[in-house]
Amino acid sequence: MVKKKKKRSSAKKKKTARKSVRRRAPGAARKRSPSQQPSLARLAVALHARAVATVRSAMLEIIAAATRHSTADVDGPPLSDWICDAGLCNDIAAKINREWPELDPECKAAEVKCSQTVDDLTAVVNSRLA
Amino acid sequence: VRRLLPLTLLALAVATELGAQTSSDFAVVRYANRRGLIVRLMKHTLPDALVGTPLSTKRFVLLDRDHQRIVALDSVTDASPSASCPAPSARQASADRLCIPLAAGAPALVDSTTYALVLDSIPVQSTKPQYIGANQTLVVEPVAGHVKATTGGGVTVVEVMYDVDLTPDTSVTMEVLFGARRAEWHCRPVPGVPPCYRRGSLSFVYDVTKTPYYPGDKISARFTPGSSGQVPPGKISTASIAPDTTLRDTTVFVQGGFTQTNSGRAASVQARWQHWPIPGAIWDVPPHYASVLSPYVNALWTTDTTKSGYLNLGVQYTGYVSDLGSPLEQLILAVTPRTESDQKVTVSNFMYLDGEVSPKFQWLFGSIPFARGSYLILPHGGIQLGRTFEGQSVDRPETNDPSRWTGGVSGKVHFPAAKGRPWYCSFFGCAGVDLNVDWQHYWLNHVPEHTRTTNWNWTTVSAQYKFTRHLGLSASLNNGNAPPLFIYQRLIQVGLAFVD
Repeated sequence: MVKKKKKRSSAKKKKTARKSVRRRAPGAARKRSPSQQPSLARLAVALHARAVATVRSAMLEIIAAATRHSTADVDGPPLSDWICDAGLCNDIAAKINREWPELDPECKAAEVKCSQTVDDLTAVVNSRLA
Repeated sequence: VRRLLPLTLLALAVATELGAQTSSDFAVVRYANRRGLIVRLMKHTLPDALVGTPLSTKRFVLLDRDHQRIVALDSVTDASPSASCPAPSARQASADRLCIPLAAGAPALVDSTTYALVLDSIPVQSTKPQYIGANQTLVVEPVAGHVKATTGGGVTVVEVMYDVDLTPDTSVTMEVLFGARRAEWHCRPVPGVPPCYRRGSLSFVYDVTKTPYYPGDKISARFTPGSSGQVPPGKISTASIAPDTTLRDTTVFVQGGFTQTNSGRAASVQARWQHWPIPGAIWDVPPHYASVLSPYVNALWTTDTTKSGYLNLGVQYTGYVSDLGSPLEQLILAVTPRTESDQKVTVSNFMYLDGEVSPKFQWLFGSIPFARGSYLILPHGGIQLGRTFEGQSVDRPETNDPSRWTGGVSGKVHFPAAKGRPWYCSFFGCAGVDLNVDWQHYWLNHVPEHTRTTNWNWTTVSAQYKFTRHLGLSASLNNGNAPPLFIYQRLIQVGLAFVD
């Protein structure tokens, strides 16, 4: 009986040891101690940032909708990997201007080129946001 | 710091130096108060999970190269928008930049001093690459300005980037010059920043579409004299524009091959030049309408002595009504006044109105579930009206001065280059495969009395293997009764196609 009990406790210990520790995201700063936690204002800004889609993720959605491919497919290759004609360039430019009406100057269809990728178009939008 | 210095110097000696202002991946801008650096990720963004999260800078090193000393950095990046680290938009988090403040006791940056910033790997929101910046050293040159121009049917946008954040100095204004001419620019006023300054790019962004650009013009910028007492030192470099080689959808199509008709066989060369937007001839009515004017050239040279070949010329106005929603995604309108001739030029018409509408429906384009393929089906219909100026007495199934309704469907399938470059790519090159089908039906409104039918069809099937993005091997089959003679013909052509 005593032996059995011992076994049980060792099994319990093993289970506890296996408990996974949540790893830090690569590049993220080390977690601060409670006394060093960021202020409420900082937290609010961070939460707001996550609630709103980033420019890149919105751009992925736009190109996926314009080409009717998945966002995973359109992440990386240039537009020329899809049927890239003047119609597609015009459609993407119109969708960009609708998504970011504050863009200045607004995106022109002639500026959207088949050699561009999601990252190129994200850079264009980022540079024109006020 | 003492332990790090030799390592840093070694790293600086070994690592490939990237000019911060010339690298396409990064741009470094000093804080307005010179108490830090903003590293802009020009082609990447931080992963969504890290946006708004302070990142550790413990493995970043800033070296004052002129005085050979390390400048201490704060332990984490400044992730929240602030006066020293402006965010692109109040609505969007700054995912495209790292704001690295100096440590509290560190001396402020000096505009005329060169620094070197050693980066550690920075995670980015893409599958390839997943990290950038590892083992890279950015040279932070003395403060200066850089002019960049964006093209698209002419020069559309001029950007002047200064190596220091000028957001707080709202009185600074600039002039943009095309050669010696002062460019007319406009931009939407934004409160709290200098005119045309953008927090997104930390640069001046000018819309210069109203000013014509002439090839060879140097594009330069200068601070308006007396605009501010705070103008930083440093020269502003000029930009010159390379010829626009990235025109979209331009068809420069040269195809030579074998032709078989009812009467015989011959070699021929056909050339088409379409969809080349004439610089300056672009009209947009935002947000949904954009249009361009382009030349239309369709020429045939043939060895067949019974034919003379033809040269049909015109202009094409194309309008795009885009982002209409569901189910009609887009409407494409094309008006092409042009000449129209047969291969012997026995009959020539001037088609003063060749108008066509193509609706792009949401369920008629999309992805093919293999080889990353895409398809597009475009129905089209329109009207053709013309004047016959050659061969008015030639007997044919249509009277002079044609009037026709047109309708049909075109289909396109595209497969991009295979991933992983198979063995044959090193021999032939790989840039994808295109398959096209176009069926056009003509309803003739005016026909001679003896003619039995008013309906004719013309079908084109073509396939193209692209060696590079611009050069491909093309094979095509034309079958049916084409205007202006509507004589049955079958043309098989094989040749090289140049497409941009």
